[in-house]
Amino acid sequence: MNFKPTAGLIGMLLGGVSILSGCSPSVQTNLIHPDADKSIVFNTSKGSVKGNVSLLELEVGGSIVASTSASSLEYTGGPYPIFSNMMLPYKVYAHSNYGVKTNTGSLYIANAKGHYRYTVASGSNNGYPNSTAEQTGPNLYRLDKAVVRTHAQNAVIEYANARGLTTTQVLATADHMVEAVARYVSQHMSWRSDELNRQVFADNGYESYSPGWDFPQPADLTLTISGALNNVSSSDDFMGDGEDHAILRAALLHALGFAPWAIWNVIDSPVSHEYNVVLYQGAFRLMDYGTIDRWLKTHTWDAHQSYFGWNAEHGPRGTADLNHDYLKDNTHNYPGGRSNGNTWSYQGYYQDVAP
Amino acid sequence: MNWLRMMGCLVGVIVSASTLAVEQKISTMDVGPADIIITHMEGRIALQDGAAPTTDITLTITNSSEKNFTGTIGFRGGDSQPITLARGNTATIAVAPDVQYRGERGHIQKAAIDLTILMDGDLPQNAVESVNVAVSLPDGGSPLMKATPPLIENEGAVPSYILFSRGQYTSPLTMLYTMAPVNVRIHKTLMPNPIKEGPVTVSLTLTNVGKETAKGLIIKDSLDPRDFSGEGEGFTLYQGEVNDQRLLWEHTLESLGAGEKTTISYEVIANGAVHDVALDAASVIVDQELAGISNKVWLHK
Repeated sequence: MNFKPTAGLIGMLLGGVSILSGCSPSVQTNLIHPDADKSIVFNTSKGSVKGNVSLLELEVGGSIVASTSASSLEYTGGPYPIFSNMMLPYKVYAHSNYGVKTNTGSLYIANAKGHYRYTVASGSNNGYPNSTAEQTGPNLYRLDKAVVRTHAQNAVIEYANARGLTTTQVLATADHMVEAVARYVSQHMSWRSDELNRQVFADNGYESYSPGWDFPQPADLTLTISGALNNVSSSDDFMGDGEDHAILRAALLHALGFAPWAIWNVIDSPVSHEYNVVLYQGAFRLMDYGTIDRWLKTHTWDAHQSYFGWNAEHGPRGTADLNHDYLKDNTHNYPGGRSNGNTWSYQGYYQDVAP
Repeated sequence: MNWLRMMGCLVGVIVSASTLAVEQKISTMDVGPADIIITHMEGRIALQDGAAPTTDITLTITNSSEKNFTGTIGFRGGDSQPITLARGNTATIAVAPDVQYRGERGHIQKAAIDLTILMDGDLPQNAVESVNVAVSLPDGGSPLMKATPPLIENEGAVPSYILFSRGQYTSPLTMLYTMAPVNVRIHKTLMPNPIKEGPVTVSLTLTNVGKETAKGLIIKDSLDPRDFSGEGEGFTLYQGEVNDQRLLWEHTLESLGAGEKTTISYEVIANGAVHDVALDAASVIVDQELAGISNKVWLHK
């Protein structure tokens, strides 16, 4: 078997540091897969280039950003807000009396922020799904409803208060947004069976709500009627079962400007539970009951055999159209490619697999 | 298609011909001016029996910038006032928040007062330096069942409350209260916490802070069966219609006199370490009406 260590693999072996080497100048970065909110430190040196190096140049994103006549060079780039779900190419040039040697590579820059668009709901029941086939992201996230934005703001405020941050700091960092939403839903929502959820909808003017398979609750109605007091089953601000929590998390993140490609609703195979997979700390991670931290490392739930996926742009959700490929083809760790060298699997979401 | 897309941006709508999906712009999440600071929020909120609460709230605003400020300041969904404030100046304005109310006279009621401040329609950059808002119950009311964020309670024949904070952003104040004769305060605890694999005791301390004896109290709690298992009297493993399940626990208490307190415990087995999650609140139902909600227990590492 031929074993050729890739830059990414070497990086992983070195605990998150990426190095390119060979008969070429070396490049080392402090992050393998930074998100766009973070700076990236490039350390370059003559590496294994023979002879005296008279000039060392670093090119990032197609432009020379630093150069030196010394044998090593450190450059801090970023944050890189202009890149969104894209690769950032870099190249080092070492000029010596033997000619010019180069080393090239790229970093994946993922910035899920600033996506302030949504697809208008088209469900045949006032925009809500009226059948399994209509269980789409737009019909369930309901970003046209002001209440979704209101609670997204609440999530930012509560997280800022809890962490001693400013609203500016929270809104400037995609990872903070994810943490804020996970925390908000955990703090304000409790589990209730679909049997009772159906009853609550009927008791609050939504007798006609008939979405088909599994009774998913639209985010706006979770926020407005699921915790209504005229049902003794309401013990929290919002109530619902697994998919209702996941739909609300995705909707709140979208309302904060999170891009559709970065947040997924995910169902196990065999079907047992629904939750989210979200871009966090530069890779796709699990998001379920509790804070995002809870699911970062390998754990013991039989659930989370992530298999089927849907989101604002892919679906619908319902059984007849459950689609494994949407998730498999769009959430590779690391995002944007198969750079960890493995085929897609649900275990790839854990921090101890994808640091 | 590019010209169509460009035109879509100009009018705020993008039409994709391939799918016929219609895209709409969403409001951006921005923050207000940096040096306009709410230095103080003060006032009172009076809960009512069978009606929305009344409010009387003022904001003290300081312009600590080098420029004069002209803009709007107010509560989200409520009153918003145009204001001009010269640099270095301070002003106090009265603003009415949005108030939502649900419930029925003589029964359980819920009031939500949105104290989220907006500046020019955006969240403020700075937290409110100090907040001191008094909250009163209706005549004859018993203690609040729940308040988010938590209030400071002044005990008395009729308790009163204060929303008090320093250096926090303000957010919706949601209060659950009842005018029914029965009001059960529940405090939920877990031992041990942090939780490792093994037995865990859940304790529910019930205090009847209402005026009459409560009879036939149905106490309900629920846990995730992927985290906990429980067997025996009171436990049901609920299998959802399609894709969810729950470990339900229920217990009936014959009666609890006014002012009386009792603790009920049950044991479950933690299937592993459980942390970084808030357990659901337990609840008490009397005569088909919610009579009490517990705290949500945060499981830490």
